[in-house]
Amino acid sequence: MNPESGTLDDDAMRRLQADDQEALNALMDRWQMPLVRFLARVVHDGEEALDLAQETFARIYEHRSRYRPGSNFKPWLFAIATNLARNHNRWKARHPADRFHHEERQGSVEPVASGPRPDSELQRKELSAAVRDAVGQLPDDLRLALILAEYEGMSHEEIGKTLRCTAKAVEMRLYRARASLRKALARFL
Amino acid sequence: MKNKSSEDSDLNRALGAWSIDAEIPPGFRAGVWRRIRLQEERRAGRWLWLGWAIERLSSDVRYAAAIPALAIVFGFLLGFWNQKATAHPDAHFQVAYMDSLDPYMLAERHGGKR
Repeated sequence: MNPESGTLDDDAMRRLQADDQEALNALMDRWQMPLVRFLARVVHDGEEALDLAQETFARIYEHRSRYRPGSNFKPWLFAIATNLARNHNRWKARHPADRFHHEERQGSVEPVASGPRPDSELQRKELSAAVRDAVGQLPDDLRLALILAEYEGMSHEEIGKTLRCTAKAVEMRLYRARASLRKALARFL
Repeated sequence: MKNKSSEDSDLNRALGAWSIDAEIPPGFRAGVWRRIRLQEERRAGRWLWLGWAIERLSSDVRYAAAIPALAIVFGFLLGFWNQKATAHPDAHFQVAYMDSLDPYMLAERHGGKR
């Protein structure tokens, strides 16, 4: 974590706890993009990711008094987002009818252009889709640990705080996730 | 055959290919504040009835007096219902059960009747 960003977050949380509402806007400016990208990777849908990111910031405001200044803000933020995404994925699994619409929307996020494309671009798209599918096939705990480590650059300790497990458990999860991905993506490696 | 570090770097390269082109819509921040306002309104609405009840009780002594009376009636009904639910089986079933265990008792009772 960038130490400067950590101080800024702590400062914003202190101000938010003192009912300075502008502080939430500052946090949103800093974290909305990483949060939406993380959630899009977890729920595989851009619109749902935006919706969950908004809900995450609303929860931060609601539970602002629970944050302890001096503790790490990033794991706290991502823990809230992770819980919301997990609940959302569970809800989607219980409502297969909605999954149809989700898949329709997911297809419309990245439309395939009809014009000619350079081979490298096509390969990149194919690889990107393969990685997305392979990561999506991982069990929940491995998938979340991998996304937080690979794409959010979080340390094992930060991931442990986010997923409420030890740094050692995170290390094991990442090892298993990468082993599984090596098999699933063998033809691209 | 590839060695471990080469496999790792290949996997890192592959993972790096999964990019997300996210855009934050202009109304994002306003949407967050709308949610916060709705949540606060909902929370306030949840306790509205309590405020009404307290106001009502403090303004009218009759309502305040009714509460202990209602509590007593409710407690009595609850106790009656619990007693019924946990009551012992009927005495007839107790005798039948004892008869099934002790045939002498059965004979004695029938003998006595004669």
